[in-house]
Amino acid sequence: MVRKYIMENSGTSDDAEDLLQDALVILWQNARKPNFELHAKISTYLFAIVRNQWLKNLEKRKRENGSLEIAGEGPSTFLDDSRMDLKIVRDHLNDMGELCRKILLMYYFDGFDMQTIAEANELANANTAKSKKYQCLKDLGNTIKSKYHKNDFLS
Amino acid sequence: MMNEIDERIIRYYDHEMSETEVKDFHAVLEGNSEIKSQWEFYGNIIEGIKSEGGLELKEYIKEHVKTEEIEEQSNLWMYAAASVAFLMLSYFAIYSYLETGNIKEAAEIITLKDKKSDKFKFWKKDQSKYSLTIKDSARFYKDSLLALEIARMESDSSAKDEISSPEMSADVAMYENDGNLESAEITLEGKAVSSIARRDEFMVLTQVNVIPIKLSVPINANDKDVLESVQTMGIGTRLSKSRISPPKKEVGKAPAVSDAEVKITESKPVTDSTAIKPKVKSKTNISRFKLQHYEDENGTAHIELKNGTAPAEVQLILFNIWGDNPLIFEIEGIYYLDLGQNGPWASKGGSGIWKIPENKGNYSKIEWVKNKTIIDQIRN
Repeated sequence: MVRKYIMENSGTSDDAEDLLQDALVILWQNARKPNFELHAKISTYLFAIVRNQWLKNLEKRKRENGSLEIAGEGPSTFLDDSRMDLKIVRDHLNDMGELCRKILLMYYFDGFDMQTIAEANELANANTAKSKKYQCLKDLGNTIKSKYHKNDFLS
Repeated sequence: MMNEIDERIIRYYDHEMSETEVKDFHAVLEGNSEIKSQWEFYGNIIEGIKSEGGLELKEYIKEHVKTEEIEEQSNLWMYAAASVAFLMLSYFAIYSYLETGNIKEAAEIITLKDKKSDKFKFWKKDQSKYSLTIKDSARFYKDSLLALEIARMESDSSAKDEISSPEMSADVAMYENDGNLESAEITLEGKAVSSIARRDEFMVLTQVNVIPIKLSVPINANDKDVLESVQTMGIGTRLSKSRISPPKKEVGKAPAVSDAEVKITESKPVTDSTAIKPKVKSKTNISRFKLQHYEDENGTAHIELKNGTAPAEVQLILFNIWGDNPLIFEIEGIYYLDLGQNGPWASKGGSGIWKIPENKGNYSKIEWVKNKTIIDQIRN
C-alpha cells in the first residue's frame, strides 16, 4: 500500500521503504511519550505518517526544483542526516565512552526515566544517573566547543 | 556562573522547570544574547543526540528486515507490523503495548519467528516501572456512538461515491496468531484512498472490502429461538484469534480471497451438545462490505460500512468511533459488525457488536447486540 501510494505520487520503491522505516522510528519515538495514545490501527497510523512525510518531501522537492519530475534523486526524509551541526554532534557522541553514549541516547532519544537508566546501566540510583547524564552532556558540549566556534556550530 | 547557566538550560530541555520558571527563563533568553546562544547550542546538541538515535534505529530496522524478513515480504504492512513488534519486544517499556490487539498479534508472530534470535540491539529488561497510557480504544467517544444512518443509495449515487484519484489499492493481509500459524487464514482486501468525492473535505484513511465470516449454527428443527435461549456455547477456540493467520511458510504473503477460510480446530464440550454444534466456515460467494475509516474536518473519526448491492445499498455510519480490526460475521443470514471487546463501549456494558440492518431507506438508531448467544458465537 505504501509502495503503491508513493510510486503513484512521483516516488520510487526505495522512497517507500525509506519512508516506512522513518515512520517506524517516528512511531517508536511517539510511543515512548508518556501521553501517547494510539487510536488507530498501527497500519493506519503508519500510513498517515508516511503520507505526511511524503507530502512534505514533495513540497520540498517542488520548492527546490519547481517540478516533481525528478529522476535519480535520492529520498530526503525526516531523518535528514545532511545537517552539518547534527553530524558533528553524532560524530562526537560516537567518540564518547559507551556509558555516556548510552545514557544520552536512552534519555534523549528513547525517553527512559532516570530510574530505568540507572538500572540498565547498573548505576546506584536515579540521582547518580542524572548526575552522570548531566556530566556527559556537558562533556559533549565542551568537546564540540573546543573544536568548533559556537557560531559555526549553530545552524 | 557558566555552570549555573548550563544547569538551568539543561533543566529547561529536560522539562524539569515549573511553568513559572519557564516563563522567567524565556524572559532571560530574550534579554541575554549570550545565554540565548548557549541555550541554542545545547538545543542543537540534544537534537543531534536524537538524530543519532533515529538514524541508528532506522539502520537497525533496515538491517533486520533485510536479513530476516525482506525476502519473504511482499506486504509492507506485515513488514511494518513485524518491525514494530520486534522493536516493541526489544524494549521492555513497551510491553504494555502488547495488551493491545494488533501489536500483540504481530508480536506473537515475531516471537515465534525470532525465538532464537539474539539480535536485539537495544537493552532489554524484564520489568518496567515505566508506564504508557496507550489505549486500544475509539477516540472522541461520545454518546452519539450508536447513531445509525441507513440511506438508500440510488444507483447513480454510487458513481458520486467513487473514490477520487489518485487511488491506491493493494491487498492488505493482517495476520493474527493463535499459536498455530497454519490453523486458519482470512484475507481482507484493502485499499487506502486520498479522498472521497462525495465528502472530499474528509480524510479517508483506510478503505477495506471485508468478507464476512459465516458462522453456521445448525439448529434443531422448528427451534428457531434456540439462539435466544441457549446460554452457553462453549466453543473452545476463539474465532477472532484464528481469523487472520497465514500458513507459516507464507508469512507476509496475502492469501488469495478465494482461499480465505477460517477453521475451528478444537472445541470444549457444549452445554447442550444435542442442540447446537457450531461449525464455522467462510462464505466465498458473498457480497463484500466496504468499510472506511475516515476523519472529518475536526479530526473526529468515524466508520462507514456499506453493502454494495445494486441498485440500493445499505450505508451504516458509526459516528465518533474508531474500531480496530473490524470484522463482519454472518449468522443465519444476518450480518454483524464486530469492533472488538475493548472499545469505549466496554465501560458501558456494550458488546462491541452491532447488527447490520437489512432494511434500506430509513434512518434509525441501533444498539449493540445484547444476545449472549450471538456474542458468544462471534467472540468464541
